Amino acid sequence: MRTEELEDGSRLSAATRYESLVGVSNAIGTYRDPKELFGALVRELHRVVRFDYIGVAIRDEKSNTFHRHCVDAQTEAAIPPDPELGMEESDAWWVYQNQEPLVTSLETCDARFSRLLEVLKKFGVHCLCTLPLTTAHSKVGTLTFGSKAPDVYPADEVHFLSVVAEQIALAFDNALHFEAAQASQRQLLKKSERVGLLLELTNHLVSNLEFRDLLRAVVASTRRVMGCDGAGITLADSDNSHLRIYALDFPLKDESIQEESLVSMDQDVSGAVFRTGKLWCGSLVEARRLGMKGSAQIEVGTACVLPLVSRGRVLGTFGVLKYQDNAFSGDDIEFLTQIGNQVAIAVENACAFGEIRELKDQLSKEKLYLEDEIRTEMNFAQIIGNSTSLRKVLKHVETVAPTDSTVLIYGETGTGKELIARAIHDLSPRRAKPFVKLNCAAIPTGLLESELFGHEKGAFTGAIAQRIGRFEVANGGSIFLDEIGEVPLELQTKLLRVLQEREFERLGSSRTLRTDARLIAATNRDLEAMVSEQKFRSDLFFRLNVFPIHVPPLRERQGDIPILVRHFTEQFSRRMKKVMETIPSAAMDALSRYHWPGNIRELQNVIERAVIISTGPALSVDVADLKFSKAGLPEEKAATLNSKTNGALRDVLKETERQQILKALKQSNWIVAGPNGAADRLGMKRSTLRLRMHKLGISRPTA
Amino acid sequence: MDEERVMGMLRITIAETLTEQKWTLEGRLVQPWISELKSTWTKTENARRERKCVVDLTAVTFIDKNGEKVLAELSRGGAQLIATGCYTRHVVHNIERKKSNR
Repeated sequence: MRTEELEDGSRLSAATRYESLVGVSNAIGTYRDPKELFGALVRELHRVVRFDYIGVAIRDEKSNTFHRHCVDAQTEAAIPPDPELGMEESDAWWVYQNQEPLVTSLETCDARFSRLLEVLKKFGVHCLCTLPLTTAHSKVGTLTFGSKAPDVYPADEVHFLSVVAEQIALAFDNALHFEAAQASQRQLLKKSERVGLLLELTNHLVSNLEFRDLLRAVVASTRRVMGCDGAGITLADSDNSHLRIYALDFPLKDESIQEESLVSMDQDVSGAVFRTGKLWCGSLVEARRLGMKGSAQIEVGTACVLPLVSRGRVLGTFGVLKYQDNAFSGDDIEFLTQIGNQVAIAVENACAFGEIRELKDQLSKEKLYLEDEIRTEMNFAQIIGNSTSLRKVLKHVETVAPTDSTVLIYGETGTGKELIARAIHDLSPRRAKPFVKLNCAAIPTGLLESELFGHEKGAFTGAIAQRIGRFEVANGGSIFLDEIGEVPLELQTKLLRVLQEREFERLGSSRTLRTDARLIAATNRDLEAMVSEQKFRSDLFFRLNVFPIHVPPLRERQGDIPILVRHFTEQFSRRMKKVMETIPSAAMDALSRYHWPGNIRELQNVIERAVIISTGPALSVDVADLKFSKAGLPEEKAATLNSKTNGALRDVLKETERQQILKALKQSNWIVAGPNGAADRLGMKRSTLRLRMHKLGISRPTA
Repeated sequence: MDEERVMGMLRITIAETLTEQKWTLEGRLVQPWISELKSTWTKTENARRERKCVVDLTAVTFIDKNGEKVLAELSRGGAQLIATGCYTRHVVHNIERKKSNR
């Protein structure tokens, strides 16, 4: 059916028109979008109504206005509403208010619609019919038909148009409700997503994620749900001097920012937000002007940075950005604030947990070392001796202990370097803190760095967990590095840094840690010679050699040997539940004259053995063992040792004599007299041999 | 903490050349590092193909029974075990003896 057929209304019977109207209703009833519906009206209504212009005015109660759409039926070109036509001057307003059809023509136009009249003239409209769009439940708006021909809308036509308007009102009501339902659904979906995000965040918070992974998960979830182009969290350093980017999810960022980057407190939006504790939301251009980095190539966008506040304390910032203008509504900011609050609680908990864990580790380590201290207490409770050389050393210990200076202890093996180091620690103000010891020669060189400075999980193959280094454990106390000369050159630099700057990093970590550990080092090597051989760094040597203490070898404090012998005899007999009443003077004499290349440690072992083999109340020292040990010494070392003592030549002669006599005695099966006796073998009289044996403390060993 | 002290640590360093893959183990070869060693050994299987593999045990301070087993596996997998200390030499000797008896 074409428009021309309607030129003469008589050509269509009322039944046919109503039949066509049903078809139109069906056609327009399928549209869910009001704009599409209006387009369909323009095309479909020609089948039943005669018009040159058609318009709808949909009432918006919220804004107390009409949304008007009007088109030229021939060209389907939109005709914009006249801005000068006041709402109350319009036909739509009158029809909406009175809920009655209104037919207006150039000839009969009311003075109330004078402005409307001008509009009609402008478009050559002769006749206008405006009808209310009303359903049983609501007043939707109005529908207007305009015709260039006169008297097109007589009363019976208006009646028919009212029926048409009822159908159209239903269609618009449906479409508007559908639109509202869709908007509500979108809103609901958005809310559901946000509730989902909050739940997701809660799940992250209660899961056992590592702290950084937790924050990464938080920023990733927020970016996804909020549809942002970037999100990140910064946390303040311990001294609040900088913010550090802790987690970042920002795919299009430039190279200027990444995780672990530092953010200035004075030259960045985040810094300002951290300092003021107030949220900042603005354009990217403004953010960049305030120092924000990361998106230099992007022109348009909005950034929003919130403070992470927990218990009134600002812990860091939480920022998001979108590449569009005015991207964050009030609702968005409120929601981001909620997320920020959650994150702040998580950060505070994590910080508290980290602190507790560090303290726990520290306490555990301290406990371990204190237990070691208790276990070994019996061995070092006192430094035994009264010789001048030892008193001189102890005087030095008293002098240096109260200071924080580094001490370098020189001494042969077994001279008691560790005892001296412990004495320094015990007399220092640090005595309440741990004394941590490490024998650098006993650790594989590849592990020494880990042992000293600790390592992070994954720092190397085999680093399956984080490990706290000795310097960290010794914080506030003292660290004793025995055999310092064995530290490899590449590690010496790091050691020097700890000594000078008190700073170090765990292996595999870029985080600088500080330690207030006092270093006491010991060596039995000539470090100065090592420096000249370029085996030891001179700068480290000079830094260590602040206060050198030389612990004398036992052979240089012979006067202390009897005291030490008595001390160890008592100690071991008590331990072995034996009663040792006497120490034969010959045995004591032999022990006193011995060179003790292994120093006090060797003496201790000899006495332990003597207590074990003693069957009576007298200590039975196996003098032959002493000689065997001595013979086992490398010649040059023995020579060096001997050259350092007074009367060295006499001692060598005595020793040689002792060995010859012992050799002869062994060969003769300890028979002194007779043709195959030792005296005969040695070419001396029996009485002379007995005298010599007595002088040299040689006696037949007990079975 | 005592447990940690007993466990100590193990460092595995792998150096690659065109003809050789050299593994240097330092520390204690006990659990959980035995599993770490096994897993690393398996992961690097492709890189080892047609190349000599040397496992340097010079800086290993302790090997427990399971450690010995994993070293035996490495040896059967073509690794040449290098030991210098008395203890590790003894362990390696036992592994090689058992291998030749098979």
